[in-house]
Amino acid sequence: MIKGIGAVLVIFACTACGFSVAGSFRCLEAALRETVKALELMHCQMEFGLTPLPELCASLCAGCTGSVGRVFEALGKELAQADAADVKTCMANALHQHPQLPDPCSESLERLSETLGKTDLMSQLQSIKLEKEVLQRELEEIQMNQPARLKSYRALGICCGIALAILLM
Amino acid sequence: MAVMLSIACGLGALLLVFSLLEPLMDLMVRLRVLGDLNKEYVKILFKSAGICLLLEFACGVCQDAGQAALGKTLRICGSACLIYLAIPLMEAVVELLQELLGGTM
Repeated sequence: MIKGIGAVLVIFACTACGFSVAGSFRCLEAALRETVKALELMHCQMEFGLTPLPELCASLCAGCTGSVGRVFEALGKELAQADAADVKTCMANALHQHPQLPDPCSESLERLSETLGKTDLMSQLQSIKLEKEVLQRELEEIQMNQPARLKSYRALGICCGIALAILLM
Repeated sequence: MAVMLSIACGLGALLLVFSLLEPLMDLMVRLRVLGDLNKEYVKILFKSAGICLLLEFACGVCQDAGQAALGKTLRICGSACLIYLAIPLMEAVVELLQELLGGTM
């Protein structure tokens, strides 16, 4: 009886591991998509609206969901402070407040913050475009064969659980 | 609805397979009695068969997903598991050989 319960628990735990790995890939994909969307919005607002950065952050926060929106909200707050440092430091602080943002997105935003508010409009737009392309390439790589890959992670979790249960019983 | 249907189909197929396995189990029991085999050894054989089937399925899924390297790694892990399972059988073979040759361990 106890062995049976243990086996069920082992299978359940391994299945949960497989599903959580698959889920983390989905989260990464969602974050990349949101970051690309945010960069597109930023590009449009800067090119046609000439919106200042704190206001831009507020509109990006409203336009994006998840951790990307929260990062821009934090960045807006950092920039709105009276003793605000340069954009790079503010972005670093905002990213530090939201560590759940996946690495490719946070690295891209960090690189972008080096040019924002420092160079002329054309250079800033160029760097936004560059970062957007980098993230889009990453997104395409992740999306390539994704359903089969996620299915394989889930199946592997279940198979490992059953194999462990067989071995331990 | 689709998920519930697939789970129900899966359970039905599983029950069908279990009913098909019954004659095989009877045969194994008869063979065990006939050969005067230890129950533990038959258990090991069944465990090995289960792990082999799982391994085959997992490798197939990995290859379908374009992850041949992961499939090969799984094969190696499965082989290690099977060797681990076969240790009591190997010990029994060594003991039998010692009995036949009249040596001591």
